[in-house]
Amino acid sequence: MLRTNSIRMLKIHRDICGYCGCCVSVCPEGALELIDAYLEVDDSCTSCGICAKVCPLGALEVMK
Amino acid sequence: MRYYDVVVVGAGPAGSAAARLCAGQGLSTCLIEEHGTIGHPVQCAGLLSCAAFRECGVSRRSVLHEVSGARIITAQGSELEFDAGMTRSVVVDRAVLDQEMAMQAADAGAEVRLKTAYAGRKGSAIRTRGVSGKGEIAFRVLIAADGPRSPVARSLGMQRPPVFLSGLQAEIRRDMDGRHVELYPDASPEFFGWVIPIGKRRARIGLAGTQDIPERFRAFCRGISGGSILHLVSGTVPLGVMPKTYGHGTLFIGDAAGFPKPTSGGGVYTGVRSAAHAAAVAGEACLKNDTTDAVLSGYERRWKADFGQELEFGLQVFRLRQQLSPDDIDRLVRLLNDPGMIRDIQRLGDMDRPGTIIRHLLKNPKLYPVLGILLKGGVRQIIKR
Repeated sequence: MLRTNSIRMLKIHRDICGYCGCCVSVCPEGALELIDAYLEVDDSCTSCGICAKVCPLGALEVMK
Repeated sequence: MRYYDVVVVGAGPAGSAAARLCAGQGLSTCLIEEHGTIGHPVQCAGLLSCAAFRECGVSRRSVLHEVSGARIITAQGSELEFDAGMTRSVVVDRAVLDQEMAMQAADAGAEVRLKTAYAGRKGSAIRTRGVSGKGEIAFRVLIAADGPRSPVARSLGMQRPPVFLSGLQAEIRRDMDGRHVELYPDASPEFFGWVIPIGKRRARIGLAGTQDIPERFRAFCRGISGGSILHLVSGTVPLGVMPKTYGHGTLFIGDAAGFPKPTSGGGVYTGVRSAAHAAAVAGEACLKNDTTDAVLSGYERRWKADFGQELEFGLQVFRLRQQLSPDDIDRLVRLLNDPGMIRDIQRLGDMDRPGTIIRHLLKNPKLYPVLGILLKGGVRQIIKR
């Protein structure tokens, strides 16, 4: 479903995520982790938006 | 804690091939896979050259269709068609292919552990988590076949591939000439879009690039066909090899190392071949009881001698492609649409080693009108190689 973090401002739309892991591959901070089909973001996220740009399904959103 | 000569992380084609070849040498081998089912989720277009399919060493059970040529179609409507007159590539069900390869690894004596994910490194052991809780597995040589994300590379602080493409593909109903793959360079400006037939009634339609994939995919689908989507696949393609493919007692193979061909995005051929090189070096390291870089560096020498130059050349072509506008591509396609050059493509074209045909074509005087465009993109260095 929808997961928002007010500090990190990266929204993961789990209902859209296809768990290909491209976001994890491109993250410069190593802030994203995908275990099987579950994507998580941790404190090191800087909301740079690189992951949102590359996501093939539009499942990531940087909140302004 | 269990102890193995070789632990392989990731049961895709590269990991399973490595595990099979290690176990086949009599090495105690463990193959871990984070997912509960081998081959799922599918993250591949599933078009393999005949050579790549042979490398996998499997039965024809996964083959859905055969293809003998390709058609390149630009946004302006120019077309280029070539047909080798014989099967050049096969369309496979990757889940079936991956499962058969993992089964062969198990049959060779490797212990396969599903739903077991790599959770980090602790000296000469890996930490795991999954269906049997948290655990540790000790190894002499670790083979990382854990795909584009490569948690192993990340945890060891290895430098990663420079480029990652993301892709989206759907299976749709489409009446088409089943002999040819269709390529649409303008569907995704950094790479291309494709339509891969699965028989005469169905096709896989997809594209890959570095941005705007959902929007491009919707536009591409509208232009091609309607109908229900029966299978949706998203995936990642790393381009550019990591600067060092060994270290910390570990060999990096397949997508984890950045081995997909930058011209096609295909990673099975180089992945399975890198697995063979890794298994040979792992065997040597265990025999000599020396898993330092002195022995493991032999792996990098082996894969470089095999396909290193081809990948380097492919990355140059990929970078050149970034500078071509749709007009440039249209001119190029129109110029290539020449009986002599089509014959050359049919004779010398090789999905796995495209360097030969690309170098050959770039030397053809008929392409000089468009070479002006290409020269600014460094085609001189490409031809010289």
